[in-house]
Amino acid sequence: MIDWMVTKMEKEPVMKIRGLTKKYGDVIGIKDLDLDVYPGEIMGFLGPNGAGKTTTIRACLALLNKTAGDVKIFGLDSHKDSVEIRRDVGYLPGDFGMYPDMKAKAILKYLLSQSDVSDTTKMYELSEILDLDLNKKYRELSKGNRQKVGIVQAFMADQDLVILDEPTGGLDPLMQHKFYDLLRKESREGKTIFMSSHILAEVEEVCDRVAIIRRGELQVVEEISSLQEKMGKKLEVEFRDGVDLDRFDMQGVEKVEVDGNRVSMIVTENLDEVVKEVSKYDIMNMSLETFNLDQLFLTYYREDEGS
Amino acid sequence: MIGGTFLFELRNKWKGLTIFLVVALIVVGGMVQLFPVVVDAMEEDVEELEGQEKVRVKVENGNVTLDWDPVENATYYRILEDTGSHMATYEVVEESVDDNETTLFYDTEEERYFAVVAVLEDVREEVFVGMGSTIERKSPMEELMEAPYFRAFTAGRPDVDFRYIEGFLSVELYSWWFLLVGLYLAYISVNGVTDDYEERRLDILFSNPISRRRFLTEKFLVLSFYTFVLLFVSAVVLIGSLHSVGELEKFGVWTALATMLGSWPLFLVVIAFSMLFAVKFKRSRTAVGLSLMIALVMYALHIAGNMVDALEWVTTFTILSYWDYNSVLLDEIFKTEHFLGLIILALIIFVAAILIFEREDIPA
Repeated sequence: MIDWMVTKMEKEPVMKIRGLTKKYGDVIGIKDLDLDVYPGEIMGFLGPNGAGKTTTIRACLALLNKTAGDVKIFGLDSHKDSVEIRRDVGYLPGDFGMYPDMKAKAILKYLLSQSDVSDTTKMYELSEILDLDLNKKYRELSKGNRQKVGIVQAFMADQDLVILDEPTGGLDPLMQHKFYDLLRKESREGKTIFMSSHILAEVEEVCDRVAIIRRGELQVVEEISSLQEKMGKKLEVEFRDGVDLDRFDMQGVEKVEVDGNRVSMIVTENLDEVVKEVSKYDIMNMSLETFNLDQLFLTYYREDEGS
Repeated sequence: MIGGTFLFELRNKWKGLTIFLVVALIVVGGMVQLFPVVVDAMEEDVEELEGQEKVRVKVENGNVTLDWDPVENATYYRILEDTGSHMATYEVVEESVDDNETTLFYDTEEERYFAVVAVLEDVREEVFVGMGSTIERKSPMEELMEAPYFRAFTAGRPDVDFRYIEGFLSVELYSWWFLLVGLYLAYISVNGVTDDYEERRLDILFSNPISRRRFLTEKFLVLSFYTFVLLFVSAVVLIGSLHSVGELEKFGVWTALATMLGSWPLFLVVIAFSMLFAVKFKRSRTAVGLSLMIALVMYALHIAGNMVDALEWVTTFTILSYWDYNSVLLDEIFKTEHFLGLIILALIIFVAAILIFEREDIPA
């Protein structure tokens, strides 16, 4: 684990979820979910549509009742102390609307006043960063610009924890990168960010840790770097002649597959030994590929489907 | 910020609220202006029957005696009878009367109309002599007033007179103005809440440190405040309009204020009920439909209960029975217990709405 992450995780979690379960009648939305979010980190919450990301977030913010479990945010009970909690939490819903006939500026000022914040400096700063015209009525804004209004409202009250549900929906790639920069800046300033997404690349790009959820159950919580390490690297070698596969039967080598003179394998440890073994043969071609989050994510889900 | 939702709702909805306020005021002021015209019509428009001056009708001892101005060269007279002055369904009750007078059997209290026709056999002609009726002729408005359904609008009072401003306003203004205001308030109360559900604004709104209780309470207070203003301004307009037609002294400032502001608790109940439906059903169409349906059904039952004696018991269960403006208007009695009772009822319903709103999930 990276040192600075260790330091963060030694602190008391900003958000502490234990055994969180939400049922809709007989249908399970999320089941027995445990998760900690530490101060100053950017945590990605990853899962396909319908996995339970939004349900988790909305249950943490008391927009949904819990069926079971306990959520503490800043040490306060998520439901009993929800009003108090929301003083320190910014939130961008995955799907939201606003007042269509009002100007973006008026909407944001109203929302800011509801948080008892009168300083609009950050509101204007964020609007400038995101290139948002505050003088347009909400109904006149494109989908992307409406999303920017949502992002500005999530950050403008300068709260310590910001929860974002699929924040980049509707943003163009250029704006997405501006948004990632904004996340990093906010994180540097000490904000904790909990962000759900199904866009694996953005989680990989900005998050320190990732929690993967599937069918309402948490699959894994890891630092992205260590998750990639655990997943290993894919080694593909094309030999001039055939090889004795038994030579690769060593610790840390999995899924050895042969296709003519082409051999592929997953190497999770002993890479040095494996390469030395490979070098004993004539090599026509060779590649060593680190798993990215896309492949990692798919691997998780394929394994689940297999089971 | 406490009051933030209150001020925001006012700011956001002021156009619609103002338009309705103006419409309501035009109705209140305008209806009073119609009063002198209607009174004149009632006094002048007593429609005379054709040839009424030539036919005299006298009801006495179960008989009706007709006599008429004789027609020269008449061979005999034919007498026609009907229940209306139109004579569209007449019967010939005497085919051949030689004299210019006849007596007919008459054992009913219902009015009857008679027409006398002279038959001149020499020239083979029939000449209409004239018409008479068993009752004193009244204006159409007076006849309308005696219709049983007017009792329905006066909480069962049978003796409301259009010729007095109180009676006129009771039937022509108050009987439907409160319904109009009630339906509008039900509509905006529901939409004031369901719009936030349907436009998916609640997640954003509740990302701020405001409780659901405060949010709903401020919405309730906005509409309560608006209703009070609407009623107060309506009372002022009513007073002004009454003054302009010279009826204020007779009607009284207190009566004008009491009949308008006294309905405030009734509307608080309407607002609370509508909000309850809004938080329960979360969909405008369902909640508005239910609110309006209940308001209209209550109104219909109230009318039926006051019109038909056998259905009088129904009025116990209609909320309109507890805002008896006629009591203020016609009897000069303000029922304080009903006023307070409705306020308590509104608060109970509103607390139920808050509990539902706090306990139920906010749909995504």
